[in-house]
Amino acid sequence: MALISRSFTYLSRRRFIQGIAGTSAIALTSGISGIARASDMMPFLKASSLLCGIELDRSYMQLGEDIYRALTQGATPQDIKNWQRLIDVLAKLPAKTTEKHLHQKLKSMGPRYLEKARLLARVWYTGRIERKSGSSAGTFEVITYDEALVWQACTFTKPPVTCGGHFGYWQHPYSGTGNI
Amino acid sequence: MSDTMIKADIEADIIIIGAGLFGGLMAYELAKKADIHNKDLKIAMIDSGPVVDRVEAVQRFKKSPIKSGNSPYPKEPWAPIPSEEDPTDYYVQDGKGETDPLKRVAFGALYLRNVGGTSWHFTGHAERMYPQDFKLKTAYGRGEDWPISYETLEPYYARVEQAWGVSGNNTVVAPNPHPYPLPYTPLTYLDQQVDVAAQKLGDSVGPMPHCRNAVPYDGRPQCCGNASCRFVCPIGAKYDGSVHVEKAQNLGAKLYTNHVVRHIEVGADQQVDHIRFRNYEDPHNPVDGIAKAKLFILAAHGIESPRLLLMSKNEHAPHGVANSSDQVGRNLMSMVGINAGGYAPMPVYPYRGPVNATGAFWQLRNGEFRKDFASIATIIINGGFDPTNGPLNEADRAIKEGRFGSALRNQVFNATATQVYFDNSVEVLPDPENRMTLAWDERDDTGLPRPKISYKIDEYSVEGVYISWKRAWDMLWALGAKTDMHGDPLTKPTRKAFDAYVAKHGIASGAAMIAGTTRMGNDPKSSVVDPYCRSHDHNNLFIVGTGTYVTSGSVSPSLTAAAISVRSADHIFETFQQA
Repeated sequence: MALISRSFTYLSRRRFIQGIAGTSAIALTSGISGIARASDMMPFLKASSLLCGIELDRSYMQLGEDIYRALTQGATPQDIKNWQRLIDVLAKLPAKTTEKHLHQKLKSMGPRYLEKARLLARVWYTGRIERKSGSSAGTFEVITYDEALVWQACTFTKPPVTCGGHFGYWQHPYSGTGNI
Repeated sequence: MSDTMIKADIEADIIIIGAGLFGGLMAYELAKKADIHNKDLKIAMIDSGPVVDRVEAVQRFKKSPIKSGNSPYPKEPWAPIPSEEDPTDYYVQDGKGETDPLKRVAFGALYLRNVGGTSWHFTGHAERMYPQDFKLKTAYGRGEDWPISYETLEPYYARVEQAWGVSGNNTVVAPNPHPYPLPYTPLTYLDQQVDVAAQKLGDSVGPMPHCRNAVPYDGRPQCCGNASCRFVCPIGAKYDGSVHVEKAQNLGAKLYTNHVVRHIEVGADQQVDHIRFRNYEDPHNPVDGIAKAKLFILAAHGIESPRLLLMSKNEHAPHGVANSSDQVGRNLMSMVGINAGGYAPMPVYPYRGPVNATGAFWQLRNGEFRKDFASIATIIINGGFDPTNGPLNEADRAIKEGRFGSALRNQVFNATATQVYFDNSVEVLPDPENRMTLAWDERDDTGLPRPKISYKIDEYSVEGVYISWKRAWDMLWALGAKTDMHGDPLTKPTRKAFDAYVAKHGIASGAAMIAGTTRMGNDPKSSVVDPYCRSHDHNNLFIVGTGTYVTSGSVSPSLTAAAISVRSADHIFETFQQA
């Protein structure tokens, strides 16, 4: 029951996102600095997958846009160029790039890129971003809670306020497959 | 000031101030009895806050970055409450920075002001007190005895367990085995692993009684382990006070929301004549009004009830309403403790099933040790170090440590899956100097004085805090933990280490209990209400809730206050029948 419930939640979201990605993705992406078309999101998702260790397919297009928008909100043109460079470089790396090689690559690009890479992974994993400037400086903005990647990593649980499964499922150890 | 010529905006036989856990239940009990006996009994509930929309509450919770207990609920400026992040944004408390618990304890007890009240974010633990809790002085030479006994309350406990749909079997907090209406809520896998460690230390872990549905009950669904019940239950499987508010409405009781009662008017005959409120249903155009009734029930919890009583001074009640004894606001009790957490050497899978807890330690709750140190309730938190953001915090930490890719994913999994966290709640004895008064120079947004808190504990409770802290650390060692929740190597829980910790951080009061501020007793000189919760001073005023407690014990407080409230409702109805 838990698996059915969980799968249903994710399938619903994916269906919804695939639907809008196929029809009006360009409209959705308009206004996002440095990204003009839906296809431009694929390098971003590929780079993010590499950093996060979780494959982010086209069903993450909308969330990817939301995250990129949050990362570049109020950014200078130079900062946006830096983001683009980071994405371009990471997207060209093999999917099986090790953590060690990733660090070496980021180190060779300079410390600002390592920080950007960490920020990118952090926002994907937590679904929240800390505002560093403006009137909301020091506060966190929640981009998503249910779709934060920690819940993909922690397969033994699911986002709070989401039904976990049949009554009493919690008395058994995690089976090791799927969420709960 | 009494003006019987004023036309009342609200008029009823019984007016209940506060449509929370106890006010709603009493409204229902009274309305039901009136219905059964075919009596025309007009009941009105007046609450300072709004009706909570569960769907909106869930959305508010998800959007909140903090996700604390208050996050799901509307925060209305006319009904201010202490926040979990900084309770002193509402409470006024001197002595910031003082860490000596014998001089000051930072008071952090939380509550809500809305229909259903604080029960929206209570743990859902429905525990009876121990028989000895009602006669602490006689049994252990500590604190005081209550004017009522466990035996007096037993039938009312049973009624509330039926009303709430309490699940349990041989629970750790049952003073004696008794049947529960619903089947028991199983221990989590985490509880079971802690139990293995506990048995090495001569202790063990047992189940808690819950008012979350183990089977569909009373029109509410079965719990499906949403792992968020300490904050909001998205499906209503956990009981909350709004259930009986709605039932009372269905029987004809009226509900007035966003009406802040600002004054209780006592006449020369020492009867409550009317109350004055400000109606914020249109927040931009608040309207003042009065409400009249034959009988009033004050059910606004342990801070707002005494606050209103103390604010309501007049020539006939010069020290405040119901306060000829000068006990209103005094004897404030809220459990204290230092929690402990660490990483188990193997996955124990927290963040599954009902949070806050399904399991607790059997030992140190009640017994001869209470002659020497305070009662301890230690529960195993199913929500790890932070029930809502704990996994997110592990991701933050892993990324800070340089993790990327599959190493990041694995570290987040392993760190989250191995979290073990113990919550310690230690009893505090009544002390008249622990009190809530009015900060007339610190007003809320509506111009009313904020509650000012003076709070400290004695050696009896400090010793209980030490024993509970040590046991929690001993459990982590017995589990084979190597690091504490901060990632530092696990240290030995010596008295020296405890004293050093307290000197640096102090001891915190918990969030779960606010008791004693309108205490019950037989003597009008030393108590506020009688054993039926009737004010000693004003015959037509009843004051209910945990404020009536004489001592606190260490169990979750709500069930006992509900049982007392139901007993009070029976008494009130009988009084009406006779009249």
